Amino acid sequence: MGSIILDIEKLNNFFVNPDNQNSWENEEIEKFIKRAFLIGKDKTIEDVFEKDLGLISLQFDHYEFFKLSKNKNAVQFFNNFIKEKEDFDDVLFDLAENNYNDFYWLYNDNYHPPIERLKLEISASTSESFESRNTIVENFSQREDEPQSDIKPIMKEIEAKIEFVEGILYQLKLKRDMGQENLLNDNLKNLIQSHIYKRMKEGSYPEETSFWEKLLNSTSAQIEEANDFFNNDYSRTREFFERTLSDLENLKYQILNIDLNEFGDDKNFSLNLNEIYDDSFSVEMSSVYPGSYDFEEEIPETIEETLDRLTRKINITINKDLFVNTFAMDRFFTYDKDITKMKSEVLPIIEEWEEE
Amino acid sequence: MCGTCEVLIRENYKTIRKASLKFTSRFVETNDLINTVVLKFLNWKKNKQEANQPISINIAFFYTITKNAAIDAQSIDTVNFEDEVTAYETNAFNNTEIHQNLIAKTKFSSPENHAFIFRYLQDLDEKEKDAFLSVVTEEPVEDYQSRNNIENYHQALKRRRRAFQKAQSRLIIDDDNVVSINSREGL
Repeated sequence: MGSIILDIEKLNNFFVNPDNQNSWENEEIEKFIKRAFLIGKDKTIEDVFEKDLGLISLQFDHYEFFKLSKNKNAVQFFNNFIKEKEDFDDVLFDLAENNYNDFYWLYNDNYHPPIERLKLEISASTSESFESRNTIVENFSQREDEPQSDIKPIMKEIEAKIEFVEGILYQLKLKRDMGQENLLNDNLKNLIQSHIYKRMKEGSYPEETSFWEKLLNSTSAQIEEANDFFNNDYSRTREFFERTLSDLENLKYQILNIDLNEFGDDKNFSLNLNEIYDDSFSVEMSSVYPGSYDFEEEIPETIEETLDRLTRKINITINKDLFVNTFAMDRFFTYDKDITKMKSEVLPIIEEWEEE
Repeated sequence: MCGTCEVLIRENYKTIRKASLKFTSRFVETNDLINTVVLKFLNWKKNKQEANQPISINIAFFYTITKNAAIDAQSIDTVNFEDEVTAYETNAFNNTEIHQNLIAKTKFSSPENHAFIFRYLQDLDEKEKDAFLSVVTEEPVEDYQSRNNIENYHQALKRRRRAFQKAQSRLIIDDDNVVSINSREGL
């Protein structure tokens, strides 16, 4: 028994014929695939792509692996796999049914798919580890002979600003949700209206009716004002921060893509810079630094805290690497799409009520 | 009396429809079940009022009435519920016209609408129908859990997810049919 050099072609062949009856090699491949499918729940990228490799020597990174979610055979294999892992499926369904907005925002704010570049062959033994951006920035500084380590403080500052802006945008979205729920609903107005109607039926004095009508008018005005805020002021604030975020990301992109040849410097370093960032970009998890910035006197939730909150009821733990697991994420999105479709078809029929 | 009848039916007609869809079988059609359930409810309410007892309703109550009505429909020697209904309708104190109107409004307005929902339900058993309808009508998991006396949130969610997946497969079959019809058109 030797080691298995596993590349994407071998994986594709396995998905076409996942029979492991007479092949220890296929057995090992299947074990590896099943571990990778669990990324986001019981496993992290690091667990699967660095730690528990056993006899397998990988010729691809996690990004290449999860691109296989476009392969029908691989998806079929995942669908069969998740039937045996119902708890995982339950979490995905719960997130789609009951926590879609919160989870989607978290995903949207923290997962940025890498920009496609020429594929660089790497083996498992030499693959870059999945590190936080800070560690990568630290790595630059260790290359003392390379003048580009000077960009460390610049990159660090840009990253910090991006995280700060992302934190504010996230808070804004949360608050909007809260604001809409609490300010823009018609509950109070309806209650006052019902009260007036009830009192009129009971034979109230006109002065009393007029008093309640005045209150009703001021309630309507308050709802209108809240509407104005959410339509205008809120949008302006959000647009400003979105613009700022885009500017900062553009700045970062430009620095990362500096062509050192233009300045007559070492060719390879430009490539390294992109390479390392590319790997880390597969999942760009921003954990907002609590304490670094003091805004709204609230310490924003970390990603882990938010994920814990979203899965508290179901009592299953998930981790942020779930965003990278495109097999699982596609299932989450399909659940949402189908729930929305079926709701839109069934609910109007159940709710239909013909007025006199 | 009829003012409160209308209020109570308006508050609960969605539950009555869902419960009737759940217990519809080859023995009884959905709209017949709705008819029976609303009448049975109005009768129950009248009796309560006559006995000067408080009227307290929760959602599970309608599921119980509907279940019993569906069982009655399956029994050959059914309880004399029909007599009960007739007696109610002929009672001079009841405004049957208003009540009939409420029953008519609670029923599904067209066979097409009913059939449209039922295409998702046709392969599901009673519990699955209930779970599926709970998902697509936005009933909170906790309400579904407590109505069905399910031990914990996760179990309730699992039941809903499994039922939803079964109905989802119907959606996939329908989509495949659309594809195959389209591909025929292309020929």
